[in-house]
Amino acid sequence: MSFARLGLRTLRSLPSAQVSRSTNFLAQRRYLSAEARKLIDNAVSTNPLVVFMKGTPEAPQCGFSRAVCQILDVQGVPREQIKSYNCLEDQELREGIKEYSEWPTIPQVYIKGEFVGGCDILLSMHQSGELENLLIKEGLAPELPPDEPAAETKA
Amino acid sequence: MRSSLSILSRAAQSSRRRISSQLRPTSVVQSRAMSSSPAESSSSAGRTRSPTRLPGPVETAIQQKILDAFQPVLLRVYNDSSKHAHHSAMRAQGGGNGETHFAIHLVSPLFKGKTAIARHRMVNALLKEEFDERGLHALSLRLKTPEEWEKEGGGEMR
Repeated sequence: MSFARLGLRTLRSLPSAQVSRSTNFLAQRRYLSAEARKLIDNAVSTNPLVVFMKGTPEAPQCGFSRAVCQILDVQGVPREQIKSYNCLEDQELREGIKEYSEWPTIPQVYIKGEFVGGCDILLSMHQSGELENLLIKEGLAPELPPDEPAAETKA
Repeated sequence: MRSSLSILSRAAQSSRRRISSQLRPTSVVQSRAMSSSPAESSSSAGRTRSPTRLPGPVETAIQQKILDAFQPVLLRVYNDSSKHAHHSAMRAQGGGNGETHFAIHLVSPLFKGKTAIARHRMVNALLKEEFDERGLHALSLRLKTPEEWEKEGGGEMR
């Protein structure tokens, strides 16, 4: 077992916030150049809703990416609010985003610079009403018309 | 190769199984008796794309790691790889190795007080080797605490 791997393994057992800080230098050594990290930082901080996906919202290339786009559609998020990045077109992004988020799969959704989750988490937040609340709070989706039953709120 | 095959036959039982925590030490081993089923010979010949429901080495590793780490009340590991073998990413690898896409339903007391992201990270971290070195490509997770699971009726998760 290499030193780096041993170190990574140790770090994985720490709280994720601590890990993302301390593994930055390791991540860079693997896929994520400082430059790419800066680009991703910039993308998630300047766009309110970012989806790293395979394909595009119009033509998703993966069922999980498609599901995320459909959920956002159902939530009434306008397409122009969604900044999507096609990871299939950029190999560095494809691997880099996994390092950046410390998340092994694509799609990945960021809202206001915060990593929200992948397809499973979006779907369960959608079902619980949590996603709707978040999108409305961030001004990304319109409020429900009053005659429709509001989704139950989760404290 | 040989060692992974023996793991394969040891776990040669339906992957749709319910594992209660009391059964933990025996559930995997007991199925050794089933290892001489005809399905196994076909799978050892063409293990890379086995059409059977026999768990492959990656699936077996996933099950064992989760059993060891999460004290599961319910564990289901579904291999959905065949549904995705035609995807461009999988075609690029010749359709994948038949163990690329999994869905896991897991009920564990260890998820208590953890957010969804934290729960996913726990499982992802445990399966890091599978992601990095063994071709695991997609993982769909349903992760609940026993309390949440019972509140929903305690049956199969959808």
